[in-house]
Amino acid sequence: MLSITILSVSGLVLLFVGFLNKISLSRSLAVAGLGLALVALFYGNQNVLIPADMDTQLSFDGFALKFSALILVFAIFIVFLSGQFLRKEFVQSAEFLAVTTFSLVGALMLTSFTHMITLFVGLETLGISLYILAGTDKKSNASNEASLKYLLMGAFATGLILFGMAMIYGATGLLDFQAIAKSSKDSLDSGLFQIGVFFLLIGLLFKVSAAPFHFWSPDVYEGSPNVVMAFMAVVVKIASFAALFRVFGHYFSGFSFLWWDIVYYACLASLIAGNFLALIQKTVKRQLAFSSISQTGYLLFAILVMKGNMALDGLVFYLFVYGCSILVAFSVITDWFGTRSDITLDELKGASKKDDFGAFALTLAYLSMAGIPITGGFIGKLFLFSPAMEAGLVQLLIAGILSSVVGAAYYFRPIIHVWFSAGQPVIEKERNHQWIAFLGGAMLLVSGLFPDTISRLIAMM
Amino acid sequence: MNQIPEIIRVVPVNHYVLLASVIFSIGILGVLTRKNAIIIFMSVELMLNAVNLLFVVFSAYKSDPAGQVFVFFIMAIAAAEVAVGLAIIVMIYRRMRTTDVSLLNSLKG
Repeated sequence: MLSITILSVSGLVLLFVGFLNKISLSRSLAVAGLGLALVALFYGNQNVLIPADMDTQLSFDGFALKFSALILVFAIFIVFLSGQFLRKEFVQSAEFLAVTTFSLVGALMLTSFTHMITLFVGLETLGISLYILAGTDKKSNASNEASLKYLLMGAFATGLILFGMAMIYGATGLLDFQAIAKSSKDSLDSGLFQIGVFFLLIGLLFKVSAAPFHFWSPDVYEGSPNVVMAFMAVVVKIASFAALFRVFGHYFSGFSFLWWDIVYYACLASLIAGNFLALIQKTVKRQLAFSSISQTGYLLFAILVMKGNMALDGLVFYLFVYGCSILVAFSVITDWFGTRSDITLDELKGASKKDDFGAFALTLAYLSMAGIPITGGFIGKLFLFSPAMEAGLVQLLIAGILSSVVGAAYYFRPIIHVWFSAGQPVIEKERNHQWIAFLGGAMLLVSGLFPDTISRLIAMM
Repeated sequence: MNQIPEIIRVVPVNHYVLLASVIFSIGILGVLTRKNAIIIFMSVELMLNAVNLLFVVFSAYKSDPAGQVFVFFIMAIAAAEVAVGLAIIVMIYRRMRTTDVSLLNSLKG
């Protein structure tokens, strides 16, 4: 709760600091605000602002803490990555940082809601901020278009979610998820409740961009500025998965017969659509967008098995590793191509001759996303697959493993381009973000070679 | 003031649910079939208003004010969404001189 307050206040302060027109000052303040919120997450856990006897609609339990910590850590690195973009002409740096901070308020609410109103407000705080962020590169047609498409699809998904909530409210007369989970058998058997769960699930699947509700995400990812795409692929993915897991893996786990099949087929469809469509993409960002859809498929495994802590820690581990690889990939791409948004795979050819450290880090990131051993991605997939094995989801596992093999094919294309293809890449000399690539790459290796350290850290929170 | 829930309860709840579902479906169809960004946006608002109607009706039938409180949240946030959405549409119109989403196709794979 305290973190949310800190984030809101620092967002407001950032807007006023924008008058000074000092980008580096605003960025340091934004990082300070996020860091303070991260600290407050662990020390301000007591609900200082709300008396204990009041019915709280947010609860920072263990689940919320894990996801919120991940969100804030990655958000800090994304603010570090944003430097070059903020200096671009026509980009409003103060507003960008403030809106990013406000969007994190929504993200934290999505990890900790216990009530339908907080779920809805969190979704929309995150969503509306993201429509703005996607369009921050005002002079780029692609960015404008991404913003509009995201707005229309996001608002549509919100409509579906709200319709689901209204139906659940009609069936049970309750808005509190805990109370709904415990409500009487009659109200849960009614048609209204089933329709409600169906619409709520479809809307949330839209938000996490699971196939067949994924069609908006490649366009939005490709059109948005690079920093914003990294933010969406990491922070927003974590937040929306937290919401999906909290509703269906936790509160609604008692009536899984209503939603299990839909999630199963969405998982299968995401694995197939994500991996096969990524094969034919020509730009780096679009390929990463389809890869993100396939990662959604792997993450849905955790909701299907929902074995309490085991699946939850696996999910957090996987999200951590995936976030690290996206961060590394984008720090290298930002160093090489600046703020250019339309980088084709061919432009990576021969890049290792200009910058072998960057090429190495990029290779590590792609290997981890493909799930090759010694990187964290392999262990992460293992954590997600092994509970599914115990639950006896053999067909899904086979689909998962086969599609990872297909996945390896397209993840290796950029790697081969970087190291073995002849070419004269137009790479800039800037090396500002090497330390992020180094840190992220190191985390990928640590989580691959000594997964116990990371998983113990996750279990401790 | 106390009579409003009673007035709402004159009509059976099924009728309201049917009406809201029809409005909601019109909204969904509008989003899926229309090409003009502003009309798509209006269809989304139609969906949200169908939901508002449902919440108010259920709230009156269950004698529970929480549903009506939710309606205020939906209205406030829908207003924020409209503010941002119209700004984005204006931005698009200034650059492209159109709000037809089928003409916006610089992004595809």
